[in-house]
Amino acid sequence: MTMFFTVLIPLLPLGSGFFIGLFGKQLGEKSYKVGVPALVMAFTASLWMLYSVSVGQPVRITFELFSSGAKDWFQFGLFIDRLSAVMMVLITGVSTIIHLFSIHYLQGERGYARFYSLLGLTTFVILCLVSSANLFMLFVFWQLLSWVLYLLLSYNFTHQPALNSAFKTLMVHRVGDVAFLAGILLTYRLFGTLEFSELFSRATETPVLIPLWPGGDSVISGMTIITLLLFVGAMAKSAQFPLHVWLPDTMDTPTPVSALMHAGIVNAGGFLLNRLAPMYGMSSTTMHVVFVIGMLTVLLGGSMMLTQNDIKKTLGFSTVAQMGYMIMECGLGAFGLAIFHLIAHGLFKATLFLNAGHVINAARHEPKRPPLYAAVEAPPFSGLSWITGASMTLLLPLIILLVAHDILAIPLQDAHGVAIFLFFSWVTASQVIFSLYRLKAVASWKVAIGMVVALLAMVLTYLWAGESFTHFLYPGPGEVTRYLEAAALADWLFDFVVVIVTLFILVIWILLYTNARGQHLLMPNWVTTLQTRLYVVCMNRLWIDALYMRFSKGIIRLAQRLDAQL
Amino acid sequence: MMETWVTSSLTLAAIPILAALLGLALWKWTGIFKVWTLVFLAATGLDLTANPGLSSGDPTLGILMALIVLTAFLAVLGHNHQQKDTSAVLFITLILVGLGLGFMASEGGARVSYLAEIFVLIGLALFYYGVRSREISWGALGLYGLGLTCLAISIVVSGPMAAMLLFVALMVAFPIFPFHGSFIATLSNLPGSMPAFLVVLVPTLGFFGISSLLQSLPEWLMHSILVLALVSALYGALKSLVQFRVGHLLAYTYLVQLGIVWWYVALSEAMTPQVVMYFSAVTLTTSGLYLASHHLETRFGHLDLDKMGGVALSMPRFATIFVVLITAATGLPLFAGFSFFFEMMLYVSAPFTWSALSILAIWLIMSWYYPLLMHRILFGHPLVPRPPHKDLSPGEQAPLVLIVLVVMIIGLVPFDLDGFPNSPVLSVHMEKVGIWRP
Repeated sequence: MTMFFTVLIPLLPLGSGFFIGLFGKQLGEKSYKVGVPALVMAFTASLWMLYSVSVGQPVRITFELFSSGAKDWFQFGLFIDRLSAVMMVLITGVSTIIHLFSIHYLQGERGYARFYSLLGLTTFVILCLVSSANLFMLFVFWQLLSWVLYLLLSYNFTHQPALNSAFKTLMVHRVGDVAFLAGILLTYRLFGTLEFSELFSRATETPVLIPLWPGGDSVISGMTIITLLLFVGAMAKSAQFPLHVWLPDTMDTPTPVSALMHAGIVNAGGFLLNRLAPMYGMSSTTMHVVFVIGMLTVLLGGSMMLTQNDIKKTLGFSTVAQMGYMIMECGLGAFGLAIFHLIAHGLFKATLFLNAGHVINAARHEPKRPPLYAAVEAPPFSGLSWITGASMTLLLPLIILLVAHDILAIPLQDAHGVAIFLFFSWVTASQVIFSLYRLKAVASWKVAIGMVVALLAMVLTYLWAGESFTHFLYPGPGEVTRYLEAAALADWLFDFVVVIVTLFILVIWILLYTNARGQHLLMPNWVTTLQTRLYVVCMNRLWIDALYMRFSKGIIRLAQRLDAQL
Repeated sequence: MMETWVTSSLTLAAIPILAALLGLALWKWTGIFKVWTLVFLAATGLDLTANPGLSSGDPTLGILMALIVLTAFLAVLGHNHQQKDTSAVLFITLILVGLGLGFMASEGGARVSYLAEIFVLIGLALFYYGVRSREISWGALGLYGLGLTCLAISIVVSGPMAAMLLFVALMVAFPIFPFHGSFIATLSNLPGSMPAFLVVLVPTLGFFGISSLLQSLPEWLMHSILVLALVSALYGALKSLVQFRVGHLLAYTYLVQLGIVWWYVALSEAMTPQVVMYFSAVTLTTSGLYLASHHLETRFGHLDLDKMGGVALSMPRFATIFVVLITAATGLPLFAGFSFFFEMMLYVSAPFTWSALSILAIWLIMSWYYPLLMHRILFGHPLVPRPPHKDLSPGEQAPLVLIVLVVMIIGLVPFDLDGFPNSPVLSVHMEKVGIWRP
């Protein structure tokens, strides 16, 4: 029964995609009648599968292609553990919602059947990716995902901006694919296998050091090089700085495609790091690089989001920042937390996009001029809300530092992780509290209580996610602790990060206070100038897109010269 | 056993040549001539598969011969017989199939003469169509002349000198920078479905011939070839980015693929099963792309990318097949090009040398120009106002679908390469029958 469901889950969307693709002309706007039932069944089967692997053992199916073992790497197999099952439920769930949403949303579109066909195939590809039993199969579906995403983004193929962004997306993803391929080649060269379990055990038994350059004395861990190369692949899919440029530009696609992309496809990078967590856990260097890249993506993505004047691009950069957050969690060894974040983000972003689609649709049917902004009086300063907010956001870093230095003990399974889980709950809660203050800046007990509740809810949710959910995904004894230890930052560095964030939050509260009082902080001129310059830089997306464009134009110019002369 | 195989293969080569000569009587009835050609090509293919030497002999030889006959059949099947020059195309195709099979099956001086005849025939066709279109490529004809000269001298000299001269002639057939000009001109200027066939025939002969010479080439030459292969692939990749004619563009993209093959051969100094299969896969895929472009040419009357665009709107069936072919050509999974490229890279002795990393970078550039080609042909609005064109007919679709299926099947289906000898299989053949030792 379990075997049957394991194979059935990816086959259902594949079958529907192929069937609609072949008979799309005949099916027309009835294509959903094939796609929706297939996805509903796949979702139900995924739920059953999640239950099955939660109470039992992981499922492994290998399709033997070479009995002689001549091509031991060329194996197609499915491996469903708790991580895969959770991902399958998320993917089939989001895809089912998108299938249902598109029934009416895309009615009348010329490519209705093509859309359903591609949606089915994309779902199949992602499902196979998360259930791959080896690195080769994962790479196969990793690349196919780049391609089907490109085809999905080219859905409006008569619309030039959509085509341009689809092409840009493909190119960025292929950069990641090439690095991924290099990582796989090195893996096979050093460990002689691409099968996950075998690879993890061989890598643990025999760590390999390779010279940094031929004949040199300096050596580096082979695992560090491999994981860094594979991480470049993850960076491309999950839109990490500096490979984030494709995501904010992909808004010319229909809303359901955006929803699938932001709720499903961008999560591939986070999944990859989780699937290969045992390998990442062997290289502290890579973990630190992952942390730094994630943090940079959060900061830059968030900054660019705040300065965009296009709502769709704002949403795109919001996803970039969220993905940075997820990668940062992986870089700190909190792999389970990253999956929790990925699910939460996937659900809220899908809702956001589909709701945006409804609003756009409604606006099309009822065209009205947007309401004029009336002059609104600045709200009076709310002392109660301000004090509550400031104390709530500034109390937690103190607890974090006490926990990190073993002065305060919280009796949880993973003592190592508590400080990290609290760190993320603090950052998230601070965002919520700031939003509450900005939206309801009135002196009200309700607002104050709301802030406290928000903080408690965040802390408890993160501690639950960090503890129970992480142990659900990684039940092996000591496994989580090993990852956290590998990723541990130096004490002074962690303290430094906490202090910097605290100062940042403090400055924001002071600014809010002075602004509400009609006062201004006395800042030197160079700070004001720098602020303006930074704003311009962020608004122009750090000119990274322009830099890439210049690079590609340079190659074209070189090719033109070559063509003219040879 | 080998002698029986060679003798029967020579008979095999005679079938298409005889069919071409008899077909002269059907010159005016192009439709009937096309059927005639297909029947005889099918007969040649059946004879090839029924040949006892194929199963017991060298698998590489069998694969390459089958590749020639299969693509000739598919190219003729996809050829629009209402196009002018149809009879010439069919006649030349049959003759070239015969000469090509003769080359593969013969030895020594006979082999040299077969290759020389092929060069002469293609050169003449290039000159004839060049005169007609007022675009004679003297450089290309000069390269064929160089090849012929080398072949002629190789017969009268011996030892390493003969091997070197043959090698130069074969570099014209199996193109590598700077010997690529004749190949590019051939694929860009010959009419109808001929480029779809010649893109397979000429490099296959060169590939096979070079494999026979591998062991007699000096070490320094292999090192030079390694560098030249990278230059060739990079040159082809850059040129592909700025071409505006489909024929030229596909020729340069194929030069990139052949650059990868050259690189691997120079690195491993052997014709491994992986490189034979990779070569076959990319060659077949490129042939499919040429055939697809032939269908466009019959509708548009030209293959100028600047005047195309928006074909997906009026020709959805063509668009679907073209997307799949581009997927295969880009080196994406599910197709043989990816499977065997991956396998080649897996078994490269040093995957992190500068040359291997360069190949990965070139592989990345392939994802630039192939999708760009697809974009320019299929997507957007029609760039020039034109009446909607008819989509592919079943007869036009069939060869393209067959190519896609073949490339997919050999990429996915368990294809155990253990049957191949591990070391340069064709060199063993060379030692037995003493070819290339005039």
